[in-house]
Amino acid sequence: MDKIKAATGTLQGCFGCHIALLDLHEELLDILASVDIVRSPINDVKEVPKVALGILDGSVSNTDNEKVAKSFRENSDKLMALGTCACFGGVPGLRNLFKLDDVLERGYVTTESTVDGKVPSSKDIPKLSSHVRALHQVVDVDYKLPGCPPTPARIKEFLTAIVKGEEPKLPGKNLCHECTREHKEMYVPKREFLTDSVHAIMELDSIDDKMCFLEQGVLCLGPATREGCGSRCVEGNTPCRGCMGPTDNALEQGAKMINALASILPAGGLMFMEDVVGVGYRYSLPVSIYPHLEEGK
Amino acid sequence: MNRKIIIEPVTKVEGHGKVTINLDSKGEVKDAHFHVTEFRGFEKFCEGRMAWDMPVITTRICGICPVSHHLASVKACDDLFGASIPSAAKKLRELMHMGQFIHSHALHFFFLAAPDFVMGFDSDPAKRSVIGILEKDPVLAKKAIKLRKIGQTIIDKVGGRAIHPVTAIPGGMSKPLSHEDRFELTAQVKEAIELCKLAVEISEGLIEGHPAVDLGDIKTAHMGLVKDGKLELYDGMLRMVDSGGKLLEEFDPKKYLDYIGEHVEDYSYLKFPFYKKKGWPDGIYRVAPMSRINVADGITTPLASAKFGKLAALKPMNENRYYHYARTVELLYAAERALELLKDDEIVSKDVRVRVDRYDGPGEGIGVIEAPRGTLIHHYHATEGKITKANIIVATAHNNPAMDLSVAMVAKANIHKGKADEGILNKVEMAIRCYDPCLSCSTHAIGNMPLALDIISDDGETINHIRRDA
Repeated sequence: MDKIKAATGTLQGCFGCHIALLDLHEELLDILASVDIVRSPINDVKEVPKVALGILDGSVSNTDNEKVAKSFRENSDKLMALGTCACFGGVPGLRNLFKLDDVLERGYVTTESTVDGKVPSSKDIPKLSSHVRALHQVVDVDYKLPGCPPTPARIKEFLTAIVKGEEPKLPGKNLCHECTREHKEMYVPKREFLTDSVHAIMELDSIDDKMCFLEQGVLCLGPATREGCGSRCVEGNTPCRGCMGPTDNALEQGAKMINALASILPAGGLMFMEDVVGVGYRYSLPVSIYPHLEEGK
Repeated sequence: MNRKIIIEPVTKVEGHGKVTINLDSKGEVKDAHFHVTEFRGFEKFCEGRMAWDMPVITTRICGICPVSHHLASVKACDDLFGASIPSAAKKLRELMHMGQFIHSHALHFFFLAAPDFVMGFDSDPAKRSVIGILEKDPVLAKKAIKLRKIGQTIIDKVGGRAIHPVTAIPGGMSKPLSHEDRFELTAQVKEAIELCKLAVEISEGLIEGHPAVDLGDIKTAHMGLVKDGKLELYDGMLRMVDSGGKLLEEFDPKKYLDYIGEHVEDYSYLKFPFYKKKGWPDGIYRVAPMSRINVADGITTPLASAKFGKLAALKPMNENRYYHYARTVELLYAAERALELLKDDEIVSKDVRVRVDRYDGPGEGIGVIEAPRGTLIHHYHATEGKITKANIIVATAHNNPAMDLSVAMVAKANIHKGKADEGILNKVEMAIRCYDPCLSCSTHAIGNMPLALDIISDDGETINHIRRDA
């Protein structure tokens, strides 16, 4: 089989998706046997080489990101959004809750340690976009692999399918489908299986490592989140926070969660009141219909 | 005619960083700057989030050293809620942290820095990467991969995930370490120690084999955590020494605002921290491996301690090339410390957390840790468990003023009469890279940093274009 040429790059992100790729460790060599990574990352926008597959992680938040995204699109036969930031905007997308000026003011003027601050505005640095966008909101995207970051095994599987010319697939159900925790009360037809209060995980006397978090009164985003992450957070005895994003069936991750809570437990509403956006839309605010300040929605 | 030279690492296209050099009418360097071109705004959008979620939100600041943010954040939360965590939890957190030092330092040394040394500075840039090492010295390359894998495995087993871990929660840890995992990690860490010894040997050779290169060496103060005067990465006092090694301060990290201020320049999204008593710019200091060795009186683990003597003889170190040696000695310390922690029976204790009640009134918490790239500070204010203010000083920021200065020094020494050659690219890159800034990692992970340099006239016309491809 001929090697396919690929290029990878990073937009606004934490580089965790690229580390996840490196976390294939010696298996990375298997990938390199069929994928020739010609630029990673690429140095000059105008000279992104023509490749069969472009891979970008991160969201689009400034003029440079936008240029790179467009250049990758132009030069890639197929473009892949790697990771949740590229697919949905990710955690940095929470910036859309605030006006850009206020965000800059906090960062460069009012932070406690800043002395005589001012907002940097030199033309030597790119201009920030008013709001953070997912990759497909800027250019057409052929493949999306969510996860913050996706597991190395999932990246390998996804790339292997693409190399073979197959359509890469993602598991389509929600995390509860993959999760092995027990439900005792959830399907019993009564209205008040939950206590009258909800808890942060730190407030529990003991954290049951076998029982469903929702049944323990702890908000877990499993019902609103795509499976396929290996349930790592839940295995780590902490609740899911939704980093795989919504399933294809859900329009909105946060709304889906509210819906799920309303149908499975009356106290669900309570559970979600503390920080509905920061929990329900932590990874997908830029692609949601939730109001974005700068857009005046 | 005034001209401007722009050196764009990959990071221009990634929105991370670049260098500009301004020339005067005679073609001499007027000034030069290092620009960090990315800003995300965590300090604003964390407002309104629940404090106990901060340890899993702030990990997303960095995918290379998420453990540092996870732990600095959870320490800030412990402080905010007044939680006193069980000693087993502290040990587990430190073990996770050692895993991160092994992964991150190994990544930098073997994947990013070593290709230059193993392949030679003048070798084909296309081969100057870990992939090149795989061809030339596959045994070494596989050892490098193995070492980083061991680091990530520790984080995975203790932190629940290798990237963006989750198990550190206010009050302790969400789960204990199983006996099986302890057994498996112990065997792996023993192997890691051998690999770390090899890294130290290689880096020792580098210092001997490569006399001073002009890497924009500057004299500054240095800062890092110490515990009883010894090198410390998880919890201790912040110590600052001047460029001559004289003690300036030793203070409780929770009082950081009394000692550290941040200056803002128009040309960078990364702020410029400084030592308040000396003011800006006289108060410039550095952090990370070389600085941590500079401030420490010794190292607690035996093998790394034996190497400390050699480093101590070089103190006070101000030359950037010592960063690599100091980094590998820390790597060895991290592996040895991980083994110490694993040998301690308390590491499998089930007593890993205390229950923590949310505190309704306004409160504040500060968490400070040594990340692989230097001191990391998380500082939160919260009311009814909700964050009202967040201030974060990341490790790379402390070195920002020094990187900016180093770049200017390299430029001034190497560009005259408007002429710059390819050599400048290497030197600028090395001056930045030895600090191991996150953005450098970003650009280096798989290949070599490709660089382009444009000399542009006032009217925007490109006069000269030099490039070095990956």
